[in-house]
Amino acid sequence: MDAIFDIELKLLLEGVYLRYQHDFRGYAVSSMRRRVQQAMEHFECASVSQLQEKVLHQPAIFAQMLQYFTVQVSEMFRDPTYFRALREVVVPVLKTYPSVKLWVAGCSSGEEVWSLAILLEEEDLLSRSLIYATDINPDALRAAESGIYPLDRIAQFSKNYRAAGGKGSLSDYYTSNLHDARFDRRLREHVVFADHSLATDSVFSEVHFISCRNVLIYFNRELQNRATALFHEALVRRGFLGLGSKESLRYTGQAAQFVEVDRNERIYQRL
Amino acid sequence: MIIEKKDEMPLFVGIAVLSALIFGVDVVTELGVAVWVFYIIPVTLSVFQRNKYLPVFIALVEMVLIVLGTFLPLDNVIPLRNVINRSFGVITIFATAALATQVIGARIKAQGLAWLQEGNATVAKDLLGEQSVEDVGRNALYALARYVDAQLGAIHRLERGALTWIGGYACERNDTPASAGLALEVASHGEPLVVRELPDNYAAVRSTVGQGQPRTLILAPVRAEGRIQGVVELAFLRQGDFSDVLGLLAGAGENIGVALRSAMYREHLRDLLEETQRQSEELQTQQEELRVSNEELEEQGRALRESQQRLEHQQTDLIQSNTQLEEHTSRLERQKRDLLKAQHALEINAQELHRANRYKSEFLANMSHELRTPLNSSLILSQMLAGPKSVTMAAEEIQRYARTIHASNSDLLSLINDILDLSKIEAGHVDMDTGVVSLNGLLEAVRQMFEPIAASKNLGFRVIVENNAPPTLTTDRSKLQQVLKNLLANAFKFTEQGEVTLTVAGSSDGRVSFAVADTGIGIPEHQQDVIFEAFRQADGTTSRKYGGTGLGLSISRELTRVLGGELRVRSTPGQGSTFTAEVSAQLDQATIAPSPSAPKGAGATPHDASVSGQPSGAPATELAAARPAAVAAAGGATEAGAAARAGTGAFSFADHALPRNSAAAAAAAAADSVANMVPAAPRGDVQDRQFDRLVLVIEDDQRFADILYEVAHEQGFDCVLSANGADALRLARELRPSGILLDIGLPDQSGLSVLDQIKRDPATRHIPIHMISVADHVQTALELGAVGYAVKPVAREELIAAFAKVEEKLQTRARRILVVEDDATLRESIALLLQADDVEITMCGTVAQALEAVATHTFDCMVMDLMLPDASGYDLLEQMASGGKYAFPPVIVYTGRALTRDEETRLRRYSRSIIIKGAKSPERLVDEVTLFLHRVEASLPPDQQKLLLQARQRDAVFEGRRILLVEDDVRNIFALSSVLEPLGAEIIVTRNGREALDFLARDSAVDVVLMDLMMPEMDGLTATREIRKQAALRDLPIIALTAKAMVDDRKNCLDAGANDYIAKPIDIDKLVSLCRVWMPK
Repeated sequence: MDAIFDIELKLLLEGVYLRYQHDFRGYAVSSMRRRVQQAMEHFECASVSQLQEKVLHQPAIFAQMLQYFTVQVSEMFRDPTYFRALREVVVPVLKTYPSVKLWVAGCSSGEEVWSLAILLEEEDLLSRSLIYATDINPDALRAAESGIYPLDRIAQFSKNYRAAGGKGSLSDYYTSNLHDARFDRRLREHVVFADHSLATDSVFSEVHFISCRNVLIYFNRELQNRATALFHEALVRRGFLGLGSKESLRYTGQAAQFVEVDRNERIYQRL
Repeated sequence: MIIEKKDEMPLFVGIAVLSALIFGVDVVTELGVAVWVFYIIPVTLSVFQRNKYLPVFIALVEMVLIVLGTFLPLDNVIPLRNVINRSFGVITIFATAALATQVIGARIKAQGLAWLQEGNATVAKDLLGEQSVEDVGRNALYALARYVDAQLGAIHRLERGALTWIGGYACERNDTPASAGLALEVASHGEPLVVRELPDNYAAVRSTVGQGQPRTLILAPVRAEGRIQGVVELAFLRQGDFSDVLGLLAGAGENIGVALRSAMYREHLRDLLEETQRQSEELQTQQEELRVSNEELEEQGRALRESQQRLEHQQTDLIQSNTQLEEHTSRLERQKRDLLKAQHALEINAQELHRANRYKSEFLANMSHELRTPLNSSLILSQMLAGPKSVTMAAEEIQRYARTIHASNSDLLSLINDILDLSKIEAGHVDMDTGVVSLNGLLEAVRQMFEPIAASKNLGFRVIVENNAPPTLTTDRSKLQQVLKNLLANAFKFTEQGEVTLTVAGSSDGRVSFAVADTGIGIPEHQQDVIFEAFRQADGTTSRKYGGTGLGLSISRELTRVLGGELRVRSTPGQGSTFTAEVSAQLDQATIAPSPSAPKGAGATPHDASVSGQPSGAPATELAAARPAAVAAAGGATEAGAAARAGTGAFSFADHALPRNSAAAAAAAAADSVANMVPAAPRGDVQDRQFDRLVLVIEDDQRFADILYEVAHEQGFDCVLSANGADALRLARELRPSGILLDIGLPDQSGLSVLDQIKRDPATRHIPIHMISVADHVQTALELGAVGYAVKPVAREELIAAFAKVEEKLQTRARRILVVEDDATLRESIALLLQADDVEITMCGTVAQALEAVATHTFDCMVMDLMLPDASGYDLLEQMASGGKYAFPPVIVYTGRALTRDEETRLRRYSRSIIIKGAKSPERLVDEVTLFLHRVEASLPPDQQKLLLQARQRDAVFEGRRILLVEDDVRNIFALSSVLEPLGAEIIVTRNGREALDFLARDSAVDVVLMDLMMPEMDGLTATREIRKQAALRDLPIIALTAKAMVDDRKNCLDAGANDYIAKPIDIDKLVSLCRVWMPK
């Protein structure tokens, strides 16, 4: 059963790649198995092949399926210590550049992008910054670009914001109605939202800081190596790379090209 | 044991000589003199040699000598006391010998131990540190083999009962399980093994000059705390005693074993750690997924609760409305059916109307044509007659005109009559005058009418009445006669020779058929339907030859129908036609079929009236249906044409591109072959050198090169001349000149590329290069690392200055930094910050000072502020960039104020490193300065290297062209400009789509646009679409640059209006050829 499942999974991913050019073949198998199983329940498919039939023939189903392939979960200023470390370690160096480019790879629904923009704004750096926010999921990108989040999440966001060393109140940056909070469009001006895949695409610009949190964990070693090689290529000399709390460069091909700047917060600097 | 064998021969000789001397003295001296005491000395001396038993042997010899010394000369009287004394001497000598033997034995043992210890220590030293298993194996084996003088060696580790190769010494890897053999035995039993007298082909010790046969093989286990970890195998060329080696292996084996085990543990630990990392990632993945599921569940729960409430409300509503709906539904369905019916009827009506309309217009068009033709000639002729010319006309001529006019008018009249007839019949206004008609009477009238015609045309005319033809028929005589007249007139008209036959026959269904057969031109099958249509003849051209209105057959067909029958045609082109009119023999009013086409309008299709085998309506409908299709097809054709044109366009591009490319390739090949053919014999002082310094001149202008040669000698340099880049590069590597003078326009490649390659080669990058060329690439050359740039035409002084610069560079060993900063304190602190042993810092406070400094010295790096008292930093940079007397070192802008986008862009032209003062800026400053000081060592990013290497000569296609680069990545902007600018193109940089559109609005004289896709404010796809919306820019070639690599992405680019597409990282050759293809000719 499991063996067949794996075969079907492989076929599905290959099919998705050929049909939609989204390459999930380098994703960690164990996680993919679980995601596809959930998708099968949701689409009421008895086997992956049935799911495959739907996915390949109905682009609309594929669009929904993307939500399963990619795990879209985040909150603003998630792991506040990380953002605190950015403020203390990374931002002072970024300030020495006349203009700064930042790349949030795998931005999901954009919480981290807006957090970063707020942080830069408070550090008086946003005006000469440009943030590239990329993801493979167009729906997520749209959500990220809108900058609208349900009001009931804002409490947690505010807590994180304060813990991350926020200088004002998070409410300075959004306007709210009954259900939603909508983040300031001024922040939006410094963000480019774009579709970019770490699995298939190449470097698009030279950047000074890359934040790629809880993305590499879904990749297998090979794809992790590809992604970190991209980061290495994109970063300026002495540029920074921030990873998720459980991620590490240690066993990737790029380990020797980076130094750890903050071990706990997984912030690295390119040599 | 490999203790050096010191030559012990002098010692032995000494002992022998001494013994002989003592013996001689002993013999000559008196017996009572105790010369024999000295016999102890040789024995004592023997301690210094290595043979353990030699002292005893010497003692024996000395004893013999003592005895001999006693009795010689033979006549001696030997007192007893002397004998006793000498006996004591002998005892002492033997005691000494015993002692010497002990000493030698102890020493040999100690030496052996020391050797072992040293061996152990050597091996242990090489195993220090955290080494991998392979390193441990290799290092241990190397130390061992060198120490014990082995010539071959291998080391394996033991894992789960099998041996794995770790390393070899002068030995290839060979670790198939089958090859383990002895080694495996040793590994499993733990006893070392010495194999002697190896057969000749056992193994070979090789070096480049020869090979030899090892004679002895030793295998020994490697242990850690008693457990066997692996096996060492050593082979020796020599033979002999190997106990010491075995002893060393036993001791060192433990060291190696422990090191090996730790390395193996480390390896294992590393694997475990990696596994832990993987697991922790996996755990995180699961946590993330759980969070998602949780959020989803919460979301779903909330949604469910809400929807449940809603549902309850809705359910009650639904029940109520359901009944209402059912009623509605049935009513609606009824209405729908009615509507459908009505719609259907309407559609049919519409179709009919449409068809009728079309017939009418066709009919009118045909009719007017037919009317105009005779009218036309009448009008012209009558006008001529009315004109002044008519006075001079001859009478015959006037008559001829009048006749023609008359004939035309007659034609017109008959035409109008025919039309009236036809419309009457079709409108159903036919008065039937039915009566009994005698067949013979009818035929007779016809015969009389046509026989003269037949005679005049010299044709046969026969009327045949078949037996079954009824003698009389009830019908409208005049109409039947009209039909026959028409058919016969037609038959005669279209027959040139042969005959016309009218055959009358009866048929079983009460009809009579009149068949008119001719031997005329016939009608092609596909036109046999058309001829019945009003104003149509088989061929559009026939009417010119045969005359006639073309209405005859239409009328005949209508009349036949009125007469209760039908009109058919059967014909073979070239052989003749047969028109058969079947009419009812007993016609009564009632049987007249009402014309189905009558309500369809006057235009009418004679066809529809026909009951004949060919349903004529169908083709017409088909025609109608075909029309839009044809229009569409025509449209399609136009498109296809356009596509074809586009295709040809594309092909012609390709055509142009190909020969061009191939021409370029051919030229390159030719250049290559020329380069290859001309033997690269460098001119100049290669062989006989006068000075210790050599300058390489790379210049293809022979005369100028000769001048440089002279100047070089004057300045105390030897000089070698090279006329092309390839030779120059080779010479630079071979001769290692002290300096290079370089021209840019070389026959085989750009001097810039030569400069770059020299600067990139570790062997040549220290050589100072001075450019001498036209003022094209001053800035680029200096950035690439040239020490100076003299602009042609060059004055002698400038040449001398160039040599001076090269010389100065040669003498500068310390790195020199120029600091330009107006604030004295800050200047000092920067200097302090950058101070180092080999760094020389020059400080300036003003632009003027700075310019002076750059003009007189060369610097490795320059740190400057933008705010200076006498002028701005920009002025300084711009003046420096103007070339001439200023060198241009790498510049670091160190400024206290934030820069606008424009300022930054402006600065970027001169400086790749801009630092804004702040908390972390000193660190970055030191870092960047260090980088620049060792710039030649630090490698540029590989893609950039590649780009620069590919820099080519100017290219006619690019010469003077304007390329709009829409890109926000500094790195790409630099890379693309540095490739395209040397080709001769002008690059205009805009940083996003909005800027590009603004630029194009101001100045649309651009040849090609290179459009990045991912940009702030307005992305590339949107910008491309916007450009395409403007009519003037519709044909502007746009090449998209994108990091996306998939098929769909390509399609998106093209759909947005880009002409082509190139993926990042950009392959420069591809980009250049793409530009070539799209560059407007």
